[in-house]
Amino acid sequence: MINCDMKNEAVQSGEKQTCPSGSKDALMREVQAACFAAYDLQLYLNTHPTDSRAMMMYTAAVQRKKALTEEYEKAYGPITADSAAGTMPWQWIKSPWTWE
Amino acid sequence: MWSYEKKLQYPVKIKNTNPKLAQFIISQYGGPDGELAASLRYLSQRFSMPTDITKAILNDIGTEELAHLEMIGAIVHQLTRNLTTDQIVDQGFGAYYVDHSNAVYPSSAAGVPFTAAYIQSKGDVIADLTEDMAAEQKARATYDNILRVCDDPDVRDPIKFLRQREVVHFQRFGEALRHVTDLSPCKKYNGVTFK
Repeated sequence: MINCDMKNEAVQSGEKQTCPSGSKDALMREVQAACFAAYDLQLYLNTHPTDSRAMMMYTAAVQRKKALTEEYEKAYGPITADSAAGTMPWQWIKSPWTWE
Repeated sequence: MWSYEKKLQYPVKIKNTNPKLAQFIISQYGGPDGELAASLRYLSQRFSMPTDITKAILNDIGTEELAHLEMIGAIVHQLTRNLTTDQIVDQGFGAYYVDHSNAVYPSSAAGVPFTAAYIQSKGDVIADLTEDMAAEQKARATYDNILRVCDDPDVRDPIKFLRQREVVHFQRFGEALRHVTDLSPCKKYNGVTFK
């Protein structure tokens, strides 16, 4: 049985980080939480392919992930190379990279 | 981070089993100049790259190598499915079969398991990019050897694609190396002054 608070738990499970709300880091954290929620539901659906409640949550999570990713990329630059299409100079290579 | 796409970079559709050929080609899965070594090499080296161009090229080529690893795995799988006992014994596949059945295991053509000793991550951009250029040529030469011993067009086609990617990667690494050596002599990267 799927835990209906799964998404909130995923968001809250991390250490509290001090990102001022509305900042680049705060929005990235929301993108990360939304992407992780969708991905965790993906794994759950792999072993529960007929759980319609999980499917509803997954569909909502994917929508949220897409909206937040678009919002982040519009404000702060591409997360995928595809989103860097049309940029000149090519913004994909721009630092900082994820490990920095 | 990474996410998976349910498609190969280039199609692999092999009709005829050929365990002998699979044993040669598995070297590009887990052998000294294989795709696993290539991917680990570039994805490890990228952390100490000094410029946007060198970080991006190692990140993206390291990622593409994972797609090549998947293609080689698909080729080996398709060459070894539905094997008869006669085929296993007659085509010299017995030693591999005893240890791994029809599974895909990262080893060289000679049966040596994959080891990180195949790669280096030196933390020196000149040393690393020069190794990467050599690695692409060694992989290209391995694909040339495979093409010499393989006459199945279903296998030759994706192998020719992979061979061509080695040539393109060599070109891009060469450009990255020139970009680094062209940097202003007074600029320091990773504590190294380029003269």
